[in-house]
Amino acid sequence: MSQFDRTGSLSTYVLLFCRFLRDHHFIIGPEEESDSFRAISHLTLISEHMFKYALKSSLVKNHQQYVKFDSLFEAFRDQYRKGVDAKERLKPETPKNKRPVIRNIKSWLSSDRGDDKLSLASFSAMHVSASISSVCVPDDDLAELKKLIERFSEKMENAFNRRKKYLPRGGPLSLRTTLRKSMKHGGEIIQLYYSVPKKNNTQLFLLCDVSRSMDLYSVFLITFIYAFQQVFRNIETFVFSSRLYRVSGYLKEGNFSKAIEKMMQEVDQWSGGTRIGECLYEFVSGYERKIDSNSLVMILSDGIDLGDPALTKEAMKRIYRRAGRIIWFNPLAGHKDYQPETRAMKAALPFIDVLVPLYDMESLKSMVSRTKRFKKMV
Amino acid sequence: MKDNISLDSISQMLKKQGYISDPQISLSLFLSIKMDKPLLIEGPAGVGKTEIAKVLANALDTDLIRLQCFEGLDFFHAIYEWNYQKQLLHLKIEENSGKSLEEREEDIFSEKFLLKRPLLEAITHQVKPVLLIDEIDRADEEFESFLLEVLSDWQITIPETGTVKASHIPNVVLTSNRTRELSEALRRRCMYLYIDHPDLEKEKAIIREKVPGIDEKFARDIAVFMQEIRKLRLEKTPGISESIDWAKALAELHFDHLDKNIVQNTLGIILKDWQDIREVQSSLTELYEKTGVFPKV
Repeated sequence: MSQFDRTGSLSTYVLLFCRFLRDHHFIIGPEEESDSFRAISHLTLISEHMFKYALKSSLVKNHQQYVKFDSLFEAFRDQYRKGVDAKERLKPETPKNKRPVIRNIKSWLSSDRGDDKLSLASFSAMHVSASISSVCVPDDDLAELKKLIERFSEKMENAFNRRKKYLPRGGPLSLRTTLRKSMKHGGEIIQLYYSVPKKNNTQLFLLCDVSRSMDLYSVFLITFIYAFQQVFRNIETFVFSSRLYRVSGYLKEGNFSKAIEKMMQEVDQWSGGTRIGECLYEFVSGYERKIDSNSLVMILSDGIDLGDPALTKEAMKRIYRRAGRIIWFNPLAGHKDYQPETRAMKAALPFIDVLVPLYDMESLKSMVSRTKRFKKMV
Repeated sequence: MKDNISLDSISQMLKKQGYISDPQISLSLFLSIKMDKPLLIEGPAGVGKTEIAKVLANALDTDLIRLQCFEGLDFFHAIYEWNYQKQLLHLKIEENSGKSLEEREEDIFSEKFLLKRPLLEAITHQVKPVLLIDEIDRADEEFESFLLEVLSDWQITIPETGTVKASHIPNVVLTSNRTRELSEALRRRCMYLYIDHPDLEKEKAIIREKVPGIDEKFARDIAVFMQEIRKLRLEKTPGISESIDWAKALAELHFDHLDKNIVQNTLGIILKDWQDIREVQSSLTELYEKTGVFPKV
């Protein structure tokens, strides 16, 4: 590791590298830094490969980081060799034609649209402040949205299952189960059993299109997916444009602004082109073991796509085979003359159980009131 | 034991156990042992994640304790349970012994009535074991949170008897197929390793290691074919375990080359979905051309 002799010690190098990774959205705290030092201290002969692997084992925490790590390691090494100050210069590069992520999402949320457009189809009950530091949605609006989604959730839970389960605590006493279970103790009643309604373990997957064509509905959609994640317990949320991002972890944050802030750090493809097929395929390949007949897959997209419709068809087919039902929320479907004529919609249509218009609070209310109908239709 | 282990010795031990490793795998295992940190291994199904823990236990000449996770896995399946039947029997026997209620209660909540489940077994084991927590992504988030506590404090509290502290911190290997994202908190407590499908040379070496006596060219043909099959869009991409099963089956049937009939008749060994079988059957000609492993007719 001759480069250390020229420009600093091994510990400085590791610390600067940790900062560099932090700039690239790795979650690295003092514990990870200390782990990386401990890992290196256990190596007797440090070759560059072993050095890299030791850092990789201790600093990487998920597959996404695992994939990025090698190129970041090389980029840092090259910069370091050139003697560039790591703290100042090694921040993530922003391509000239690409706005920084934080501004991108702000404009996606509101500023790049004309007011007339905004009044046409965005979430009229809400006011969005596009200040640089935070995105604000009034608490009342969020609460109203959550209440609606809670109603949706209750309907989903209650309408499906009338089965009971029997537990040592809970609802009314079940004499039959108590006697049955006492058989193994020679008829001696040791435990009383009570009947409790069996909860439906419906697993939800919500995939939201955040490409440019969806800009008009952005305020509503981002609040919608946040509220959904907050209300439902078994839900995985993804956003996609030309890539798929899992954002459930960020949306679990109790504070809306903080949740959006965290999401911004990860997702760098807001308002880009759409590749629905590729993203749905990535989703079904990664989560197919989790999708079963108890799963409800909800896709929120206008179906305007640049990708291969054959791939959309294949991905939808795979989801359809596994999932209990597929609901496609399409903001355009609310228009009286709407026809699902886009390539992606045509490809996906045979596999959609319910196609629902969803673009503002009113359409959400209408959807919730029709929830029972979804079930009968499926 | 921990002090005597070196990186080279880990690589040699793995090799001795017939596990074809690479520097990243050996180093991750080595650091996990040295730093007493759990190793989280992610990767597609069938790439040998579970095998690592088994091999490690054999290599360290210690016991493997396995906790297979599933949806609904709870405290009682993972830590301990009281042996109710035995307690009841004991109470019946002791009915006329003249012991007081407190004494009898103390008796029945003692260690001999405790059924140790994997986590408790691991921390109270006589020698430092390897604890395999398999497919953690299948367990519920509540269980994951509970596991965090065990993995950081290495102690378990049993309300009736008190707190049990670990006599040895076990070597912990967690595996996940990434069907659900694990929490950041759990990830941050672990070292991380991702194992992907092996490349051609590694796959060939694994087949040769696991199927002794197989011809080198034949092993290569199987590996080439499997590499091409993985490029197709399949419901269930076959892993290295399927390659080994296939190679073993072909060797059992005394085949020493691949041809169209052999492949068609044995596709069920490597593919577990009828649509995948249909997809591969329809692409066989193309696969023949790509792999070049079949004799031209």
